[in-house]
Amino acid sequence: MPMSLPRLNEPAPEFEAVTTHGVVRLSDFRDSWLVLFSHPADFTPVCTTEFVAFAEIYPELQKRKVELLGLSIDSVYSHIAWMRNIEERMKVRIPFPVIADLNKEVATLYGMIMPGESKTETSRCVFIIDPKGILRAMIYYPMALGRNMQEILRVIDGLQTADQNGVAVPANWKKGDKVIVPAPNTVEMAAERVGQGYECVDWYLCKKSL
Amino acid sequence: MPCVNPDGTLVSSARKILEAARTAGLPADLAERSRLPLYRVHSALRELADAGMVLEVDGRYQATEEGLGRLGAGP
Repeated sequence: MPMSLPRLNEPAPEFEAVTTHGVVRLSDFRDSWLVLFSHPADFTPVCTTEFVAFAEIYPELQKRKVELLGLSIDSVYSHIAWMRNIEERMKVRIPFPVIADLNKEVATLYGMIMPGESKTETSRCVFIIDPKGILRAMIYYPMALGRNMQEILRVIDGLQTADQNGVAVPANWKKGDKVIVPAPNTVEMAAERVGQGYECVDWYLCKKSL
Repeated sequence: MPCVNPDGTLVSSARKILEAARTAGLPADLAERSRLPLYRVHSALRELADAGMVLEVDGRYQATEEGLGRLGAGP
């Protein structure tokens, strides 16, 4: 199967895969937000810190109606053994399913293998999929760099805020900060923007509180 | 089959879903009744339906006699 890369704002590629929670399909997550993420391998140090960190933000994700689904090119037995080891050694239970993608089917579908890094392991990819199954964000990290969980939460907060309020969010935005009013598309809209109570730097850059 | 142990007994999540499906319901209803994530319910319902333990009519799922019999058989 040729390597493909999914695209933003298009339907996330459907799959059916064996996981630590049984066989799941992408469509099983319909009506929830989903963070689909890959890690290079079980029983490796950076991945272990990430799994603990994902488990720690799981309650915050649940508040936002977000499910987690991990993936690596390991067997389901390896996943189970690793999770039991994490629970035994670090007293952290991994509450989400992890795909055992031994045939690299899902990894190939989502472009999770970066041959320049490794031809046999997935990189640290994050795909954020909305309740309608649309791919809304992709973040790729190299193997040597563990992911920032606060950034993943921030991206979800930003997407949910943008969707619910028809706004955009500025650089370094975090929940509670002012948001950006979409730029006007016509001269008339630009003129009418003045006096609407927004905090404007100029006609094209206006913010408001929610 | 993740819903059924090698000795033929049901795993606890499958029992919860079958209990929830004593009365017909949408997957979301069964998720609420069983307090399981919706994806787990979708996944398990496929297996339970293949095994003849639940029946789907117009998107609503209900435990069959076979499914209820398995519940009665104990864990």
